[in-house]
Amino acid sequence: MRFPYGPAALSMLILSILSGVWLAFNPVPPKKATLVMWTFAKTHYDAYKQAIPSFEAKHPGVKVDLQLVSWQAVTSRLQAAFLSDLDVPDLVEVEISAAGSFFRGPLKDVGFLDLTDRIKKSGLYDRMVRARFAPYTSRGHIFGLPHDVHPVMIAYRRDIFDQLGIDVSKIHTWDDFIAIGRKVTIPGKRYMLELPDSESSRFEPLLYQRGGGLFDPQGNCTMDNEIAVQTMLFYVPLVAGPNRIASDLGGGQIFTRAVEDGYFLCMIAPDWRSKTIEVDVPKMRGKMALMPLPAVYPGGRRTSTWGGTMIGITKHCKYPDLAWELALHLYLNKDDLAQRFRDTNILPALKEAWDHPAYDEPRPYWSNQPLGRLYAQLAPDVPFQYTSPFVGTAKGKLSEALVACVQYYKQHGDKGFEEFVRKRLKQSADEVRRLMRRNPY
Amino acid sequence: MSIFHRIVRFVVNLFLLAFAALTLTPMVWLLAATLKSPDDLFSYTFFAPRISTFNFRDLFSTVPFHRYMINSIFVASTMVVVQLFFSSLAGFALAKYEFKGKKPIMILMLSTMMLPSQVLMAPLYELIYRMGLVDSYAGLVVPGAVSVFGIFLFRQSILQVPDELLHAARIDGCSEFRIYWDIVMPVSRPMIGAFCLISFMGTWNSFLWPQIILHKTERFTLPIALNQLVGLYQQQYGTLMAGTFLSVLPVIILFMLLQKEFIAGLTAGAVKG
Repeated sequence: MRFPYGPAALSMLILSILSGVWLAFNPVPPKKATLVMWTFAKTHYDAYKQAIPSFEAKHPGVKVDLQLVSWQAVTSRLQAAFLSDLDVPDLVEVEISAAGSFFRGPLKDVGFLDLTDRIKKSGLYDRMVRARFAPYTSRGHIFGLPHDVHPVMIAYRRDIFDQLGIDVSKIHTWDDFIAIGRKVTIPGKRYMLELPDSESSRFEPLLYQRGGGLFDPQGNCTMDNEIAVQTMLFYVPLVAGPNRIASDLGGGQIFTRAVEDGYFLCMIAPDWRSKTIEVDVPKMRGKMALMPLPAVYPGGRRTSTWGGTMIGITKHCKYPDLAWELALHLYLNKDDLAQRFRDTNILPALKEAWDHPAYDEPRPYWSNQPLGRLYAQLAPDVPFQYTSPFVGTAKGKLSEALVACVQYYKQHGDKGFEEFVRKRLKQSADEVRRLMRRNPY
Repeated sequence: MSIFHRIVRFVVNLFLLAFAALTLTPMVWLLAATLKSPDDLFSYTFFAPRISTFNFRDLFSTVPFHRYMINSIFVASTMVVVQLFFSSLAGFALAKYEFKGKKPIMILMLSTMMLPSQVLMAPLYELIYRMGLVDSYAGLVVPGAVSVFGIFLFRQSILQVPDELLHAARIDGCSEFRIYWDIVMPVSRPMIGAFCLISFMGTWNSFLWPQIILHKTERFTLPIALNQLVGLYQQQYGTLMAGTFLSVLPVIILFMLLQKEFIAGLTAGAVKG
């Protein structure tokens, strides 16, 4: 019998049958899981895959189904799961900027279990860096266990600093840093610092360093308070105008080339980004080093924070005690945390874990500095970062304000700049507040 | 051919060549990126002096890439076959039969094309969940089994088939299905080739719905699997490039094989005669 659809359709049919037969002979093993957990980070997934068998061995009959869900999908899938009450995981890791969106509405409608009592009873409130509970706390209730601290340092081209005779031990404040930056910056050829002028990702750590933030502990929008104004007045002249010492070229290939060519001498580097730099700029091995963030004033805070992850237990979970045990198993095992640090450079939130020798190991890439110890020394001083369901909106509005302030400064310089900054930040903050008023919670 | 025409042709060819080079540059960059070691990845714009297979080795050692490829082949080819069968049947009915409510049905079907698919995702997800099809390929194939675009494509194509052919077949005792099978479809082959390619590419590149429906990593199709390689804080660009390169290869090969039919299908009906 002739096949009437022609060779194209016939080839499709053959492909379908052949691949179908292969899949039939290689079925997906059925999973009868006691606990389902989602994570968005491949590095976490690989580490947890290693750690889960020992947890299952401790709890005979318990099966954990760990699923890797891409970080862009976690938020949308989890929101949909909570709203429809379908297919909700028992445990889930959520990225810091998305966490607030799950704390919207009355407390009884929050999809995550309130972990406050468990955290306080187990002593974790004191054993972990306390500031790191803030992003996962809403109305005094803690909904997530922090995975990390993400202290911020400055990564710099040590070899070029040495050639230029710059002694980093003499850099204590941003004034010191900027003074050196003005000397070594060659417009269009070399800049002291990598900072963007059109989005707020690096502005925020500098805002937190000064004790500011997008929201206060009560969830009020604070992105136009005096600290924010002063941060903007400090930041914009770094990236615009005749005395700028910073530039930004984006990521990927162009960033690599910029670092290799010495176009940027310094970068804002939380612990996770130190790994990104290692991976993306491998040729700089031995030529890079880290120094604490310069302080705003003498004796001030020498670090900040950027990024983060929490693990939460959903109200859907049938075995919350078991889920809590699993969370502790994954977040408190010192050896596992040390290995994860070696793989990712990420410092865990558990303070006692930093005693492990892994954090004192010299890192050849970073001119043999003990990377873990450097970050650990700064970790207790990381600022609080408060959350809100409107974090995403606030970040967008802050970026808009930054762009407007940069444009103004380029055109008018210092003339009327402070007044403009106050007005523009207030405008952005008011837009956020207007959106917040629509939602009484 | 006059000198003027030769010059014009030369200039046109030159322009097309330049445009092709511009279009193919990202593909060449992609290929070059797959053949660079991590150390060289960002240090050379295109090819590095040393060819490295590290990215491919890393890809196959870190993820079950062959499984993702087979998953994608299965879903895309099955979807094409299913869509082809139902869409051509419906197209045949709309083109060659008169029945009550034909116009409203066509308008209703056309109006569904105006709706963004994202709008339907929440209710569709609930439906698929209630049917127990979440985390299965049936959850991908069943909602996409009928393509309104395909129905109208085949309707337009089958309208060109002379009614006399169908009447002659009926006189010879052909059933309606046999008319469709033995007469209408062979005549519509150019459109089938074009539809196969369009449908295959659409399914092969489909991301949002499979990402919502498929949960177990072993069932992932290529776009979702590749998306898993995109990290929040760090990523292996080379591995990602190798995966991307391998994932576009089948579509390129398919186009090479079907381009004659694809062009014929696209231009069918363009010239009357």
